[in-house]
Order: sequence, then structure tokens, then C-alpha cells
Amino acid sequence: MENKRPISPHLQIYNIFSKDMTSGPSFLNRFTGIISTVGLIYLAAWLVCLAMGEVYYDYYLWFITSWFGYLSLVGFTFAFYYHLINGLRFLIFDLGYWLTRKSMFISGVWMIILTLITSVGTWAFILCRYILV
Amino acid sequence: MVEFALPKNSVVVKGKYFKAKEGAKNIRIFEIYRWDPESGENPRYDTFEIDLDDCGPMILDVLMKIKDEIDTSLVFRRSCREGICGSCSFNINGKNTLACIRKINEYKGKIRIYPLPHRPVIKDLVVDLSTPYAQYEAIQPWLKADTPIEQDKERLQSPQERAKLDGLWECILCFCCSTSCPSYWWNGERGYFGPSALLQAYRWVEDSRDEYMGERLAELDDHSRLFSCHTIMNCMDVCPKNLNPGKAIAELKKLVVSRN
Repeated sequence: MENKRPISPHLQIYNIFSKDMTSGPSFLNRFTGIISTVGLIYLAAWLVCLAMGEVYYDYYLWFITSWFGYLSLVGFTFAFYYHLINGLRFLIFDLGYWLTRKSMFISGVWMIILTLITSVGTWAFILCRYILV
Repeated sequence: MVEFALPKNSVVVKGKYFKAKEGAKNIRIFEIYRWDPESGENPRYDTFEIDLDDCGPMILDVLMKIKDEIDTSLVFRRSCREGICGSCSFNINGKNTLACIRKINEYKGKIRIYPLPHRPVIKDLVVDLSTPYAQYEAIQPWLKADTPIEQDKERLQSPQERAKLDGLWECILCFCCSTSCPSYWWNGERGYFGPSALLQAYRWVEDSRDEYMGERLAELDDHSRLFSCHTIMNCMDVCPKNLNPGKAIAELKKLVVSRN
């Protein structure tokens, strides 16, 4: 063959995030999984600083209470809840349930609503209980 | 490693623009993927202004009109024009479907017609489907039974047993589902059978007359072949026959796991 055949466009043209709640939530599930892994590094750093003593722990506190630290924590919260709740949704798929067009959509919408409620709720609790006191 | 971007020779560039005849009132714009193996150039998209007052109602009618009247070099597969041959499967406005059973009016604004995603292109809208066909062959889509039957007798099946095959046998092998599956894009060449072949695998596993269920499931008990499905469910979303390959794969997974 003279020319190497091109590959037809895929991600470039496919309607991944359509309202059908199929590939969109699945892609986001991968993405939030990666974000949560980064969150684990924060968690490990916290424990390491804790073990290394007061000076280092103060460094960590300085970082985590900066605007960037808070922003990351809020991001991790959303990623964690999304990954958890959508993960449960996928477990139900694996049992063979909810695999119709209608239930894919309904479960997808509920998954997003629950993610928002749990994430916002968690931060509302933290703000009221610890930060704004 | 998963490749998200297209290789250099596959990047689509802007192509020609074909204006409608003067005086045309009801114009729709169609963007169509083109690639000519003899030119040595990158794929491009050509833009066509189509006068809908002088064109049939379906997307396939537009393609036929272009080939008949505007640019005869356009290449695409089609045959029955009524959604049963499975030839005219394309990616239309980001979703795989059959051009012959989709009305132009279902879409708003500009309509983009691309070949089925992540396949080697042969020319224009025609892609190489030899991998999905080979995978379909690999699941041995025929009745396998050793029990002898009397001459001139059929293998009988109760209406209830036959009903289990509804929603499975109607597949027309258009491969809209397999080429809509992100897992198939990146694992198809590495052994993932894809929704279309697996739907048919389930069709023969479910058939009460087939006596090779154990062997069929053993063949599928593989990290790639079956378990590369991550229940993304684009297959169910795009199937032009409203079948549910994702559900069939979930049932196959359950059978394979409970078999051990």
C-alpha cells in the first residue's frame, strides 16, 4: 500500500458529553480518579509532616490554608464524592441493572445531584463548625 | 499507551466549499469528511450548501444528491436505504447512526458527516471494518450442536426459549456500537471484541439449541475480549435498531464469572 491510511477522528468529533449520561460520566470517572490520586499525595504529605514535627507541620498548615490549598481541598472533595457515587452506579451496572437508556439517564442525573449535595454539604459543615466560628 | 490525539497524517484540514445554485431558499450546510488515498494529502472536510427544497428528506438523500449532482468523487457505502443492510453507518453530528433512517429535520444547523470513529479510512466515508468482522467470525456465529437429529426434522425450541433471542438477533452488523465505544477505540486492535461481536456471542450463548455454551464462555473468559468493556454504554445509546449490546455484555460477564 502506498499511503498509510489515516485513522478516522474519534474524540475530536464524538459527542462524548451528550445528555445521554453514557460516556460523559464514564470519562469524568477516570478524571476524578486521577484527581483523587493526587489528593492521596496531599494526605500522605500531611501525615509525613505530622511525623516530622512542629516546624514541618506549620509549613503544611501554611500551604493547606492558602487559597491554593483550600481550592485543592474543595476540588478533592468533589472528585472524591463523584468517584465514590459514580463508582457505586457502575457497580450496579455490573450486576446487570440500570442498563437501559432511561435508567442510565436518571441514575446519571441523581449521581450528579448527590455529588453536589454531599460536596457542598461537607464544606458547609466545615465552614460553620471550624472556619467561621 | 492510549492515544488521545490523531496521528499527523490523520489530522483533518479545511477543504473545498460548494455553493448552492442561485435562487435556492431552503439551504442547509453539510460538512463531509474526505480523504483520497491517491492524493497523498491529509484528510479534509468539504462544505456543501444543499437546497433542501430540491432534496429527499433523509441524510442519505443528501449524500446521494452530492454524488449525483455536485461532486461525483464522493465515496460512501449504502444499499437498502431502509435501515436493514447496515451499510450507511456514519458519525453524524457526533453520534454514530444510519444515514438512511435519520431525517435531516432531526438535526439543527450545520450537519457534520464523518466516517465511523477510530477506524483506518479507505476513502472518504468508507472505513476498514475487517477487524470487527474478524472478531464477529471469532465468536463463531452459527449453531453448534452434536446431538444427532432425525432426517427432515428441525431442532425444536419453545416460544419462551425463542423469545429470549429477541433483542439479540436483530443486529444488522452496522458497527455503529463498536465504533462508538471508547474502550474499543483503544483496545479493539488489542483483542477487545467490541459490543457488536459480543452481542452476537450472547445471542448464541442464549440459544437453547446450541450445545457449546461452556466452550463459548471459556473463549470469552479473557481480560481483553470481554472484560475490556467498562459499561460506558455508548453502544446502547447509538444502536440504530435500539438493541442493547451493553446489557448483553453485562449478562455475559455474569455467566463467565458464575461459571467458574
